[in-house]
Amino acid sequence: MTEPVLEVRHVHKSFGALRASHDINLTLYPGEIHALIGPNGAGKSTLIKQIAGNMQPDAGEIRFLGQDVTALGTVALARMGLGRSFQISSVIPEFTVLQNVVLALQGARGASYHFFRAVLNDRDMTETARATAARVGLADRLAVWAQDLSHGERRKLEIAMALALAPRAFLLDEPMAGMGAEGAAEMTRFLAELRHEAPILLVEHDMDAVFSLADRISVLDYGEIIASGTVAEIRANPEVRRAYLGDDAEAL
Amino acid sequence: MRRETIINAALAIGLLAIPLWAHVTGEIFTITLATRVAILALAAVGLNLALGLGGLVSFGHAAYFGLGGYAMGILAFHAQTFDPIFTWPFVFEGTSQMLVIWGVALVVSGLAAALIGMLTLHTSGAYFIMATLAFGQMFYYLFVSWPKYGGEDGMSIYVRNDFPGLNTLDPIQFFLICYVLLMAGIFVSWRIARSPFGLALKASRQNAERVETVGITPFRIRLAAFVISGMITGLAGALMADLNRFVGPTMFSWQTSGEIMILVILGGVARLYGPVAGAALFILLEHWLGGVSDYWLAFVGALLLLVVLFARGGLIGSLAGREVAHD
Repeated sequence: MTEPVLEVRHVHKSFGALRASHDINLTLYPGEIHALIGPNGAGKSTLIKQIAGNMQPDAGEIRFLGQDVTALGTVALARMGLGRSFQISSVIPEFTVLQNVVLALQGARGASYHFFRAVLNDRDMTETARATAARVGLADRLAVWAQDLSHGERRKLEIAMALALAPRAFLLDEPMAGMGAEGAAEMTRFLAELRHEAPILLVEHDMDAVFSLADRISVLDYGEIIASGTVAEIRANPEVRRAYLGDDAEAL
Repeated sequence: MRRETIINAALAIGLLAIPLWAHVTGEIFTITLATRVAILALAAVGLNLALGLGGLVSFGHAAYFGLGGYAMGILAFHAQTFDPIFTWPFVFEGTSQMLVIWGVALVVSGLAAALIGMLTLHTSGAYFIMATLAFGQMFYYLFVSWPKYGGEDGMSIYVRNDFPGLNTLDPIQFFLICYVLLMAGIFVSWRIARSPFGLALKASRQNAERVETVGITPFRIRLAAFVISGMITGLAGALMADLNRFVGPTMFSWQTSGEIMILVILGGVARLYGPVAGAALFILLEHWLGGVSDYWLAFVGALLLLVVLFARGGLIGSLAGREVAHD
């Protein structure tokens, strides 16, 4: 069997008496979308932060591309190729769309210490940035300030910035959040294709999206993974229905 | 052409034309005023790089201004007394050559900025302001209590330092030196603002977390910017010392830091020619209002308040409007 791109092994994290992560095991294989779901407060954000290098686990190991990255920070992980989007859109507000994508490109290439060259005169860089923005459907919005974008467009820009890293894995935190039905459907189609470029660890509340996209689903509750499996297995799991889906059980 | 470009050109030409005209009509005092504008503007160009592009509200740029000043003072002092500054590990003699003095001012203020930056740039907000202020004050008290170099009284340097081929005591020639250095400083910050480094610096100001997730370390970017910023302000300090032919610990005082910051804010934070506009306005107010009332700084205070409350882009921003999007 192929090696996982990303692997979380026996990760523990507590804040005082609160167990935010308890013995978490998670794998992400090439070509798949692995969805991480769970009710609010289940510990999804804490887990994401540990994977992304914002937070250190108390115990356990995180491996990326066959390497132990538990102690690495955000910058090092980004340089290794972990493309991330945030739960709340995080872009550079006073930059244009193009500048945002160029920033991500130059970060990925380690080309930020040029003091005297005009960045937007670099044809290779701007052409790649244009192409990347075009992939998420922002081709005609390149010169718009990021702060003037619609919510949905900002989400797309975030994905474009992650794409610019030519990532080996995506860590997408609620990419559909706040998008209308149409936007969510569009994003779903896009992510379905994106998995072939690099596998996606997807945190998402939109159940339609999760069930149509995910190859595997892991359910987090009270800091523990209570179930992990295919869409069909998760739908059929009584513990999941009780713990997480609750009132929404009929949605299954 | 963009309106801001026209305003910038007008400022650049005006600052050159007025002293040249004053030279023709023999109004030495006007040349001196213009020289002060150029030097203060250069100091503010330095701060503008950290404050404007990087959002680093340094309240301690007097440290670099003073170090640049004392680099001139100490080198020139030893050139007058003919005893070397130090003899170990190598003999380091004083000099009255501006080019050497500028080099020393750049190196010393750059090193100080690197050290101070490394210790303070992990903090932000009020803590960063206070930490930079504290370092500025440390230098102030260091030089106040250093009798060899004049202590509290400072030192007078009786002869202006030399520049190859020029008579630096001729006001217009010294002005031109300062003007060229100001333009060089503006050129450097213009290139930096549109470079990959500038992009990362501006991004770090707006959203440092995002910058990290694309693989850039904001701390290192800020540190590099802080060093360049300190060096430019240090160079201005050396020029100011030469203009006054005097250095004193007040160059290190927090009032000096505040004054440089006021120039940036009055002119327009992060605007390329903001420091020039701010310095020109400040010197003109000092000149005109200073003749009317001893309390002229109160008017500057009121003006600053108006700018901060109603005209966030400063003088340049009010005249040129909001920056336009471009790709």
